[in-house]
Amino acid sequence: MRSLALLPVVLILVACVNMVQVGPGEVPLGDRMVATPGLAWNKLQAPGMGRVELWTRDGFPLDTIRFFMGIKEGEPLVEQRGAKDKQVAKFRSGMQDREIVEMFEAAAADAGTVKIDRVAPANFSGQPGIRFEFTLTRKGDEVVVRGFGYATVRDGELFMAVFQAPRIHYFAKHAEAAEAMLGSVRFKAAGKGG
Amino acid sequence: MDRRRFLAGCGCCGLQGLAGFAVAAEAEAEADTGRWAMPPRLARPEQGTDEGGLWAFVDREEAKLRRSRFVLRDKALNDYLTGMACRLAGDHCPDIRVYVVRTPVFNASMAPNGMLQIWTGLLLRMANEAQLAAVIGHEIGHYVARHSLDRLRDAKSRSAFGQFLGIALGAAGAGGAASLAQLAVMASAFAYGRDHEREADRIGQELMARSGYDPGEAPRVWGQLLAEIKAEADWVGELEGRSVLFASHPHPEERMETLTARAAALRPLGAVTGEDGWRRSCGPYRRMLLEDELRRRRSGETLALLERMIAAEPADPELHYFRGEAYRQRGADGDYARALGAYADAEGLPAAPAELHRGRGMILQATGDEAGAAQAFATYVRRRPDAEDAALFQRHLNP
Repeated sequence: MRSLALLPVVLILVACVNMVQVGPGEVPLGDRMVATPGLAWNKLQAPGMGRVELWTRDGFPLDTIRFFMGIKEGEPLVEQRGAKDKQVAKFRSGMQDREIVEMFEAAAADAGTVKIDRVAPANFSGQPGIRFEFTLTRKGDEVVVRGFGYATVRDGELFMAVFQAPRIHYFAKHAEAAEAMLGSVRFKAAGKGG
Repeated sequence: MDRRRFLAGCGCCGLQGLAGFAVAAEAEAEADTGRWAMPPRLARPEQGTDEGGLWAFVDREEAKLRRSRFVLRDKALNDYLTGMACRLAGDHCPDIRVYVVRTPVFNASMAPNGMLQIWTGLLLRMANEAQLAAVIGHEIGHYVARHSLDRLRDAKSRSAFGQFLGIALGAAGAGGAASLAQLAVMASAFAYGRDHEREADRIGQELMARSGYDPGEAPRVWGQLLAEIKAEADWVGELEGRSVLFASHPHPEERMETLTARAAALRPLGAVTGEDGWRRSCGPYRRMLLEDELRRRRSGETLALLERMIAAEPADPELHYFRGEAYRQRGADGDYARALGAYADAEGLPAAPAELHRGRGMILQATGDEAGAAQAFATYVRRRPDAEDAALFQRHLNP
């Protein structure tokens, strides 16, 4: 009975969600950014992704890059199920670097136990921003993942990209390619000036 | 105050605990205290019976929990908590196995096979050993009275209970926090019903008194929890729509009256609350648990908690610092001024956390005081050169 009830959902998912190969070479990220990965990546295409893109090399439980492109004033990084509006950390255009990390931390804490290992100033997409590293024990599967991310604010909107992979094997396997990929991200020349 | 208004809208403040420690309602004076006799130890049920199936299920869940990364493996803490549970449980002691689960939510639960889970959000919220004994005594009450079996045999609730086991134990094994929908299922399944809750309350307080704990801490725990719930509801502006957890238990104030009246009748001579052992055992974890608490972004609850803790320990700089952080992160009207005040309170005490200077710098920067911010950030980096975010503030060292 239950599996029957789920059938339409499964059909919808099968119909609308797919992976496409992107790269190597220039790949648009939303309509404001481009990346130039040196390797081929897989990009998830699904309805309702909004300003988020998900990329992977070996598949999502194993390695993930999340792009958040143009989070606006008052928007959260990710929706948190069951949380009331005031219980969700939201982006403000005047946010300081440390506050951006705290917003990420609050979102990650929804997924498990998170520890920020390092935060430092760094360029992202050719403009000043931050780079942060973290360790997360996912509560869904209890896998410990390591990750790093970059963030910058442009025209009052947040742009962030976060790589994460299981601490065992997969982080080391993909970290270099992910670092290079995130380092290749640029705003499109035709985009609004910053 | 209108009770319904008081309880309205607290669906998502991490209240599995309420279900576990929930809610017997009517203020019936239960004059039969002292006549209750502890049942003998529970024998492992036959396989092939419904109770045997239930045990087999929770045994499997316990095997998962035993391996969980979310269980705190600290022998001293575990021995201390086991000692507390044993003091309450008497002859049942050998059957109880304590697991401290790192999840920042008020919750404890005892499975029919003796697996006792205590979540860190509960530990953080208890002021002393007797308060935890109130919650655990209540859980032991459900256990020795075998309420879960009644629940299992209640055909109407069987499906909900099965879902509860899957969700509650599975989620706990995975570290925890359930979605609101899951919470609703858990609440409906775990809310044993008024008779069971009333009985567990009574047994719990009885066990407290027999063990020399002050049974007056039981209504205090309940009152603290209600105050946090109210603070969160006030903050998120949810005064309509009552929590699923209260839906079948509409009279928490009356429950408090019952607990208070019974405490007066039961209180043994020389009853203790056990602050010292509590601080020694749980104190080393407090900072980590407060950091977990802040990340929940339940500022109403968190601030109510911190204000209660500060009232009990006004000279503890770490509590003032976290209160400052909670206000700074919330950032509502007037919160920055409150945060600065809290940081100043912390700074005036010995061994204040250096991070208060970072928080102060962030507020000064946000309010346009660049020079003040630079000075505060420089102080932070000088005191915590090894901090994970020190590089963000290095430039303020040599302006």
